[in-house]
Amino acid sequence: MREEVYRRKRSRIGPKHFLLGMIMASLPAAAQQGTLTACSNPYPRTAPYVLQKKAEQYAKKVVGKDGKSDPTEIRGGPTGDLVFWAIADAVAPDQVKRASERFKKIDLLLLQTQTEAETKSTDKQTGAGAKAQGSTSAVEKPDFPKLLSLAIENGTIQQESNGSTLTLSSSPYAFVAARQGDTAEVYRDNHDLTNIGASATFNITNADVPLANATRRQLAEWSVKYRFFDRSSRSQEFQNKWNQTVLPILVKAAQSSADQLAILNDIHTGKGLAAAYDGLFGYVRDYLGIHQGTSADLLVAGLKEEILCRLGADIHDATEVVEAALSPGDVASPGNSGALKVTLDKNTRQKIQMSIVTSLDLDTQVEQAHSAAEDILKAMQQKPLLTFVYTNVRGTTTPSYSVTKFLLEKNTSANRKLVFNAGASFYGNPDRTKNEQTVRDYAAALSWEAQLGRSPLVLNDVDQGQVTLSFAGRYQRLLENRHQAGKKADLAVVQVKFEIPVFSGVSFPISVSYATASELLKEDHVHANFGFSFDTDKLYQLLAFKKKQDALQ
Amino acid sequence: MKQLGRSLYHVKVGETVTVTIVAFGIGNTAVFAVSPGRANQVSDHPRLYQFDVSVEPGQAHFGVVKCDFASDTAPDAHFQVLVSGLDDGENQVTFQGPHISKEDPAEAPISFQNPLAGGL
Repeated sequence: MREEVYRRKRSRIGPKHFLLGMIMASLPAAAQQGTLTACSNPYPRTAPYVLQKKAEQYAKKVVGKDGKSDPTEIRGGPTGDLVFWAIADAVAPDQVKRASERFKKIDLLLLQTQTEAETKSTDKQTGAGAKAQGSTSAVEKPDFPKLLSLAIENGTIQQESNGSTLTLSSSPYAFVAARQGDTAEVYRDNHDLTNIGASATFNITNADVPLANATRRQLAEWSVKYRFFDRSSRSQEFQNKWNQTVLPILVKAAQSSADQLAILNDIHTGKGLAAAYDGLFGYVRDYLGIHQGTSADLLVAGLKEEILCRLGADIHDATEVVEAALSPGDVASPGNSGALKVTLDKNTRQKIQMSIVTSLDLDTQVEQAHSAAEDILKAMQQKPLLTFVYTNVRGTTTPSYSVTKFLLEKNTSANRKLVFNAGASFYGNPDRTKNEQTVRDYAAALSWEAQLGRSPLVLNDVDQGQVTLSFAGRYQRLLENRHQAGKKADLAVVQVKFEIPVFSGVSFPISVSYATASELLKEDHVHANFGFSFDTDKLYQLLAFKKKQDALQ
Repeated sequence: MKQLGRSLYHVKVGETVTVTIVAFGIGNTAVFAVSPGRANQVSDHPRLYQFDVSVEPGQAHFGVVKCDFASDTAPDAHFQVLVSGLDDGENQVTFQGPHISKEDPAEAPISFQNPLAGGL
């Protein structure tokens, strides 16, 4: 099962996909991966984590995501990287062990932080706007965070469904990026377009094939949004701050890594310098030739073992430190079998030891700088967000009309936020016989949302899915209802909404509203909406975390 | 310059190598460094670096592209490295180098080898 399945966002994720995902997550890593090793001598003792990690990463690169394996992915830099660490493990095992422990710690921390952040998020407006049927929201949230990337990934249009309505979304930028590439430069040059989003909501009558509902007859509303501020890490504001915070230390760390690999220029193999060693390419190419038709997961697991095994036999076991100082012109003789004999002098060994200590220190500093940049990003995302929305509502029993609205979101603390909507709507062709005029209504809404803490129903420790409670009020002055028997011009609604994640990626929202009247009825009434909401972003993050956690332990 | 793999190039002494890091779905949050020697950054948008080949035959310049992915970056965000130099006819050539996504290692090493006569 390829991971792409889980990357489809809130669209057409049926029960089969969901169950299969849960089953895959519960299988032990070994059962999912298996082994197919061709090399007969395993790496001496357990290979250090740093080597295991790199071997797996390069095996994944070789196998690829599109089913087209490419052994040249292991040539050059990746080979140098693996050879360096195999030699280092032979001549400086203590430093390599410490480096491995540190790398493992950083990897687990990063993975956990990322998963917790994704599962904690409640920022996305899922489903239709506040007024569409089946919606559990009284106010609309102003952000459309992942719209751009999703639209591009899914062919410029993103779809999501909440059971009773289907919403298709896109952005003009998605079309520009689809043609020119979604690069940092295209994003910067078309920044205004990145702030525009468009969507259309359709009433669902055929739940089995949601897209079949995307017809003009079932169009409930379409809208265009303009976001006034970009609070993402792609904004110029974040780029400037990243340049100050992370760039200098990242440059130092990259230089340190390059200097570390350049030590291979001082290490002899009997057939030239270690800098030119290309043996892994041949092994990997042969391995792929023998195992054609093998599944990607099995290939990655098998290739990882093959790479480690060959590194053990060719490099680690063949490495020795010689007393005499070596120079680039010296050529050590190959062993009797023609195998490599990796030789380095004491000075080079010391350089290896020093380089590991230095790179560990710099990696720690990079991690600290990354955390500082993340704090900056969080602070940016706490700032008010203002969006202007134009919506064209195509009523089935009433004439079509346009709604203009400003949406403002302000975080009042880390777990609390206010959302304010204000706007007016207009008829294009008011029917005077029905007391309609150009201005249809004025409306304002205010909501307060709080995250109450992690859901007790979610069993996965890393899933930070939050129980949320919100109170919302909405006032509308509907001008055509003035002086009409059986109707009220002033309509007020108060709503309480509670949402609790029940499984990973699945939550249960329920809302209860009290209205003084509706657009058609004078009597006050109570109204309830509930349902299930699926978020495959969260599900994908948790599945990826489980898989990587298994690999790390 | 001759490409033997996305991360392996044969180069000649005196040749100027250009490395461009194009960011897709993410800001310009990746850098390049090389050793022996140092790379000069000649552009910010996109990040573009140059260095001159100076190593003896049998040795290599080792380049490293190091990336930083912010937490709000989309899963499909990636960096595409482009490597340019001169071919045998002294014409400028550009090759697609490593492709680095969020789930890949945060650093991608690239070798620029000055081959021994007759190849390695």
